[in-house]
Amino acid sequence: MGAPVIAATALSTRTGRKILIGATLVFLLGTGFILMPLIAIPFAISGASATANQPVSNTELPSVSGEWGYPLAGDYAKGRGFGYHPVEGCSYCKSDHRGYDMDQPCGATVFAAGPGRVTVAGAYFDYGNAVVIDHGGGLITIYGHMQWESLRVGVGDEVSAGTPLGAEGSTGRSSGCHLHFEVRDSGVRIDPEPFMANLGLPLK
Amino acid sequence: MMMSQSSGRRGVAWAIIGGIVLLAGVVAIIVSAVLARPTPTPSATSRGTASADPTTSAEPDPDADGAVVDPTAADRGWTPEPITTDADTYIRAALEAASTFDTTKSTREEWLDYLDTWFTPDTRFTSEADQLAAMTDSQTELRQGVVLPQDEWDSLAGEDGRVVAGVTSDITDVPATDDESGDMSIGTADVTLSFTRSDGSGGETSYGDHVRVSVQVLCGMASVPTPDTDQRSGDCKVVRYFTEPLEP
Repeated sequence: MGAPVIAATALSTRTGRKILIGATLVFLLGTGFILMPLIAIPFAISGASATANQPVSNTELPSVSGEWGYPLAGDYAKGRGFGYHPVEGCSYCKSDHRGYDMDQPCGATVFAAGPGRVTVAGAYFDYGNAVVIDHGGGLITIYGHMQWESLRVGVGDEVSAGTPLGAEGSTGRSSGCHLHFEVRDSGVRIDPEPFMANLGLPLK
Repeated sequence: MMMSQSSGRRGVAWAIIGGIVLLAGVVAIIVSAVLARPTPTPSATSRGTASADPTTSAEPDPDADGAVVDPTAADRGWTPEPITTDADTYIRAALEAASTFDTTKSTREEWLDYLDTWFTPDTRFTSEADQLAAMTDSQTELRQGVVLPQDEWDSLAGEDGRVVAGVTSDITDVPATDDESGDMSIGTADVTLSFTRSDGSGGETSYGDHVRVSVQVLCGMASVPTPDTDQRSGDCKVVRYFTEPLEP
């Protein structure tokens, strides 16, 4: 009973009202100051961990020629080329390589090579985490072995040369980080080297 | 008195403004943290790839009586070695054994040690020492030139992978050269390798490869059975796997 009476008495005077308002403000400011880290820190950690699998920031964009461009920006090391490339010391391994391997450090951004629509974004046979782009006219390109949870596109997305697809990784049948770049024309795998060279984008 | 009241109101106003700024700051931090979280992208949606492989473990090849050297081999994801004198049956199992494993159930070395038990000394050499040396060389060749290399195994193991091999063609069987006993033969066949591995989103993805491979076996009294098993001399054993298919 005492507290409401005291409060009512205090509110009846100007000084009392000032003291109450001041005390309330100090309480609110203090509470906000103390609670802010409890709210901000979990969100900050969540944001940081969620972005950990994102592609390495790549300020460089791939070179383009017309509507097409390289699937990686900057220099890269050539891995296995297209065609007969047996796996050293393994008679139970396929000797035929269906694409063109390009090596940059793990996490490097992989880009769409040309305009089209994404038809696959996710696990894709031995390509691991992959993106398949339908460029129309029976032409498709495949970008294999990207890191899990790194894809920036989804099925149905329209992309163009230079659209970031994901981060280079080693998922699926791969023994090290690299991009498996594959081109199919009317369902037939073709050599990416002459294909890209004809577009003014010679590979190594 | 008027000055004092005015000064007091200004103080309260500034305190309120300060509080609002602080609250706005907290809200801004929360909003920016929420917006920094990436939008999930669709995954594992393609052409029925995220499906479980119906063949989840190696099953014994149906032999005449189904007898195998180690019945527990299948539990570890391996092909059980059949106890048989029939070269065709044995070659089929041997070709499958060299690429049937489960990386979640054994290491590569454990699997290869198991495959070593399929071998028998090469009786084309006269001395016992040479026979054993030839067998050791063949077991080394198995590791270095035949089966999935360590880095490919590690890649598969990183995604809880397994492989089941199946012979999909008739066995092309030819006699081994320099074998006076006539008990040694080389079998070649097409083998389908069914890979299954995790797809990064809790499911599995499967795909197949096709290879053509050869193995040399001995089905005769000179074969040395695996100790402490039901296998006997005369039952088929492996002499050598080849690093490339041997066609007649």
